[in-house]
Amino acid sequence: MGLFSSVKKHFLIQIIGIVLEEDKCGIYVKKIRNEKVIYSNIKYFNLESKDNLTKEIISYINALQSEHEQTYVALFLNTLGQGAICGCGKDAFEKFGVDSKSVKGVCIDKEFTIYASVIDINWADKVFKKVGLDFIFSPFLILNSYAKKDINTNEVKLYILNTNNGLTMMIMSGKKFLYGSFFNVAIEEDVLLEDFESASSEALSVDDEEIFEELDFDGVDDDDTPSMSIDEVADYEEVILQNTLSEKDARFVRYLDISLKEFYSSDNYDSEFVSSVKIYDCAAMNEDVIKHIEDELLLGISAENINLLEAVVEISKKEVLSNA
Amino acid sequence: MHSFIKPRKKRLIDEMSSLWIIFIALMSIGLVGFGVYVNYKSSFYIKMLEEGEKKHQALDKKVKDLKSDIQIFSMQKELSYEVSSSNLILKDSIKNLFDLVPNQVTLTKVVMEKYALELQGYTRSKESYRLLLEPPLKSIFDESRVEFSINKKGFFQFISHNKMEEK
Repeated sequence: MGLFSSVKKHFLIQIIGIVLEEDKCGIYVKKIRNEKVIYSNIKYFNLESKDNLTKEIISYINALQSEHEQTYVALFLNTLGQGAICGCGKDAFEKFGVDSKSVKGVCIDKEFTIYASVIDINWADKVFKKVGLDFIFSPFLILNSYAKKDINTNEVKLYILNTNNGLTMMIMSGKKFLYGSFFNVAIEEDVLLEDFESASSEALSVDDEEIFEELDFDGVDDDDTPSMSIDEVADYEEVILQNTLSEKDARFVRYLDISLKEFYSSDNYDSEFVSSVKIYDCAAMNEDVIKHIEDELLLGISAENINLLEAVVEISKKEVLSNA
Repeated sequence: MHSFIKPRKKRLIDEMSSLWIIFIALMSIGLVGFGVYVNYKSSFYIKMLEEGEKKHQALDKKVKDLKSDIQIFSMQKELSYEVSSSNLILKDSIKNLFDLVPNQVTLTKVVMEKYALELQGYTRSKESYRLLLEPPLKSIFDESRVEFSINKKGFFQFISHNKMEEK
């Protein structure tokens, strides 16, 4: 920690953590001095569109910014154009077929790279133009910060960060990163399916209106790609028919299955058998989903409720104090 | 750095506080500078004063020396005047004395003191001395006596002692 950093921690630092969802925006304000929290407040605002902040939000953040010079605004990025891959550098991007020019990557622990598309980063900058952003954090960073605390053996574990509109998954073998993927569960993502199409020989047919069709994985069932058994599809259908899973939960389960299949089938990953699942839940996860995962994937699951805004602010605090 | 963007540069303190700190810093620098200037100037003036004092003392000493020189010169001048006037008097006295001596009397030695006169000489006759030289001597001096003796050539040698009362 440098001299400036040691001086800086004696000043009041205000961190504003923001999680932007489709219909609401959560803002967590934390004021810190000498690493002690002297004020914190969470406030939620309704949104008409994720692309436009309301005047109320802008004036609220601007008012906070005008209070203290040392104010940092951090955004939790939950757009679809992001992911995590093994290794660091251009070679890693090439290996996973990611255009390194159109994404911005951050190497974590020289082990893996989290990336987001430049378009999404520019979108975030544009949305927050009137308040300005200091940090944009990937959900993988949040998940990794929790996974690090959990890792104590070399078992292969699936870590899930469940947010209101996002599903972030990381498979770790001890401290070694194996696989990572992110999905937006709030809306049906065509891109996901297109991506998946690239790995399969047939295109998927998706219709937002018809859940049954969404859950029909016959389209991806061929020799090259992982497929769902008839029983599994029947199970999905059964779940939906019983109305125990919402559309969002259904997507969650489906994306989880797709990811696991991709992990097991793709040559890009060291496909080791996942022995347990740890879910960090920020969105009051449906117990039926947990039950489904346990029953269908035969994996031991443990879940922990976390506050996403708090996590964003904590990471921001570390960034502010370590990079001063 | 784990963020996709870099944080914007922040001030440690707000603009108003920065201005105040800059103002106070400038004032402090100004005051310190002024203090240093005053200190430098005062030490300069103290040094100048000390030098002036030294010069003053030197000049005082010089004045005293000059005054003593002037005193010496005045004394020398007075002395020279005195000597000169004495010499004039002596010159006049000698002239007068030689004017007094008649042709019949030849002087061989004259001793002039302030209040006494001794004359030695010779003459062909005592009368020449008694008639021509003794009366003026007696009129000038309070006491005048003469001793005669005859030398080998037959002239009368005389030694005249003349004294005047000291004033």
